[in-house]
Amino acid sequence: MSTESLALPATTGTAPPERRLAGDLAIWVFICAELLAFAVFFVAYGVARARHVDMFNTGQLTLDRNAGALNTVLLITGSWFVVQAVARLRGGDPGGSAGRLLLALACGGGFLVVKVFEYKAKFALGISLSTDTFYMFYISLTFFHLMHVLLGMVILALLWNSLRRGPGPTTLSSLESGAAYWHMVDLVWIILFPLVYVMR
Amino acid sequence: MPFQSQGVAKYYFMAAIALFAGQILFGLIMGLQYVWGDFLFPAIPFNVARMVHTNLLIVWLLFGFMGGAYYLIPEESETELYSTKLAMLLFWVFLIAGALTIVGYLAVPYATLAKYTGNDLLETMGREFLEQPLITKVGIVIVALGFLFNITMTVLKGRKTAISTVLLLGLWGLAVFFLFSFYNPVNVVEDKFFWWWTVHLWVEGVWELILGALLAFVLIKVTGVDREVIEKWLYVIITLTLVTGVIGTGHHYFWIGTPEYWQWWGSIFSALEPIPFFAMTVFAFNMVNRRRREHPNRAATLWALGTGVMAFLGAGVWGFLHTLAPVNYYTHGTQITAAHGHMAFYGAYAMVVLCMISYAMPIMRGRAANSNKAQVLEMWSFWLMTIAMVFITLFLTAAGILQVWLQRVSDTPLPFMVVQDKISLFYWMREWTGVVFLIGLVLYILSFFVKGEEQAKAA
Amino acid sequence: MNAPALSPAPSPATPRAAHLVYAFLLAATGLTWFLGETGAAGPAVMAVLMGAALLKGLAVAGEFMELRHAPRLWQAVVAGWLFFVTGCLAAAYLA
Ligand code: HEM
Ligand code: HEM
Ligand SMILES: [Fe+2]
Repeated sequence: MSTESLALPATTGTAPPERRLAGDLAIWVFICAELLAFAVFFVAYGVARARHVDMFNTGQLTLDRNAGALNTVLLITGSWFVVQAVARLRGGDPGGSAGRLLLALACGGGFLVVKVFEYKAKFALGISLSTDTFYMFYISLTFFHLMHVLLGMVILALLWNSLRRGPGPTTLSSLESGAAYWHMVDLVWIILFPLVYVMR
Repeated sequence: MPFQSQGVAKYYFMAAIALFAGQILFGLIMGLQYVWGDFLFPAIPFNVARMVHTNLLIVWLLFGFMGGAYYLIPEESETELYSTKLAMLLFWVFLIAGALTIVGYLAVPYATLAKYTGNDLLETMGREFLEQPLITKVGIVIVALGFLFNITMTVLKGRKTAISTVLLLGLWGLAVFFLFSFYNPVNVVEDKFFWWWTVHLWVEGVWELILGALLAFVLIKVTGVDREVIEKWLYVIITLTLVTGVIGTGHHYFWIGTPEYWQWWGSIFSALEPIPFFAMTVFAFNMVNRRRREHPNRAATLWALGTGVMAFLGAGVWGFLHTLAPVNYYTHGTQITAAHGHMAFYGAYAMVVLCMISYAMPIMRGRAANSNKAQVLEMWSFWLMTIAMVFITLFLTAAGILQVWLQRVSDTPLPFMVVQDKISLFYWMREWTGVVFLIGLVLYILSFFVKGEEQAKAA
Repeated sequence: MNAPALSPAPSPATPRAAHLVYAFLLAATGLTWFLGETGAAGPAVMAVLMGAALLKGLAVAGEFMELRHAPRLWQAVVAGWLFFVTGCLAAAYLA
């Protein structure tokens, strides 16, 4: 991180126009911290797995891969709608933008529903954080990620609300920031799914 | 001083510094007892001195935070304090209650104190940092509630800024988490579990919000940088603090009988706790580099930068050092913990209070900054105390590494007391460095009495 | 990089590239799911899975997060993160 650039208020027109970060600088600093947190979590998973390969492989077989794949599709579809929402607002169509955000929110909601069923099935079997190291990671990682989906949805809902009430001069920048955060949630799941559900 | 009522802060700051001096004296007594076992025996046993040392620390920091809030809130809210009388009343209540408690610690055996103060009604005593008798704890809650009421009402009737919001959040959090000091389950695991809700969630949670707000306030004042920029930073810093610090509590749940997943959770989240401290350092330097004015109070700027650096070193670096479960397995409860505790408390909280005092005190005494002579003396005290603290930390770290090695890692581990004897050289060096720290503190106090040609009157 | 028009007045339509990326993400997810269903295992499968995750991540970062048009430092940060994480996971798998 360059200390100088950190202090610049984001999206003032001072930067050279051809290269520009979409969204506020503050959200990107935050995204970096989040990515770091997940990186530490993932690497810890990798190390723990290397020490208990059999336990991890056995545990993994009990996971619901279809649910995981479905959730991947829901997240990337949600992201795709968010991209369209940004494009529409840039094109001067706040109504269309808000509509796309609703679709993205629906995808997020779908993700939550799938997750709830997935957890319910696991908890019904008596699986908990203390069952073994694999399940500890499975539950912690997916739950930590789930919290991010929820936060992302709150952000999208706020953005939807401000679009509906009529966009102001800073709405585009806010939307770009929220979009960047939402895509980050997606980015992390793209690693998480193969790692926890598939790779053996 | 834009608002008359800000002046109450002066009393709080003076009390804070006086208690700070007391804390250091007891630190030195204990430091000597480390190498000279029956020094002052039986008048002041080690455990009593320890209690006085740490409780004075907490109490003077609380005085500092309250004084800081009384100074900051009216200026940010652009209105007089809701009630100056209440602030003064609570000051005397808190000071007298604090003094009586310390006298109690020193005058009667702890068990007797417990008996006379109603500990059998509700057993809350006997836990590190929370040793206060029940009546003192209740007193603290009353003072805290009155204080919070006062400043919250002030904020409500005036301008609301990011800085005052964050400060309020931090102070309310401080009070709420103190309530866990009344909860003392019989089960030792649960006892420890919730004890950390006060201790850890204070220093690595809500106090960091107070730290951020006080630092941001001083930086706005001495640099003249735009509020918007500083506020954005403040929000990023506090979000990072809460995201990492709350679950980071787990770094105290490795070996106390809590489930094993805490080893992972605690390690992972607390490993990220240095990030907000790092951000704070970058923030402080960045603002000073982009300053729009040359404030005459250079000493306050120095304290602000020092806080950033030392908090990052003490909390961030020295905290990270032993925060991963496989490392903490060896270092838990050794001198490494003490090294970290000293530098973190000094670097983050002692320094931010001194920074606030350094900025506000001259203004409350009718000038924008102290005379050059006084400032030079203050900067000397800054360097003496700060460098002394760095060396105290280094000596304790060296002692800690040897302790871990001889007592825990070795194939032929030595008994605790044998190891303590072998590393006594470092304890001697810590004690002498502590004397240097005391000299720094004395210079600091003297700097308030140095006259010299007066600088520009306060605006 | 040949940035398409992302000037102050961009085109209203979603960039075509975004739709292509979406299709690619779906396809790659399908591949990952399929490998899981067949129970495939071993270093080669691991390499395919991590490779696919890396490419998906780069696509999301570049196109969705618009890092393709961002200062190179930010591209490096996120791409670096992806390479670091997938690299560490591959190394841990092989260890
Ligand atoms: C300003 C902030 C901080 C202060 C004032 C502080 C202070 C302290 C104190 C006084 C203790 C000893 C508690 C006891 O009596 O057992 C302690 C323990 C500890 N601190 Fe901090 N700390 C801070 C931040 C951090 C950070 C950011 C980390 C991690 C990166 C950290 C990691 C630890 C660990 C792991 C222990 C337990 C040591 C042991 O097992 O003995 N601290 N801290
Ligand atoms: C300058 C001379 C000082 C000396 C000689 C000194 C000495 C000591 C000693 C001997 C202990 C007890 C350690 C034990 O239980 O074995 C202690 C604890 C402690 N001191 Fe100091 N101290 C000094 C200054 C300070 C300062 C300036 C601060 C903070 C601003 C501070 C904060 C603490 C804390 C938080 C503890 C409890 C640590 C823990 O639980 O691990 N001390 N000190
Ligand atoms: Fe802690």
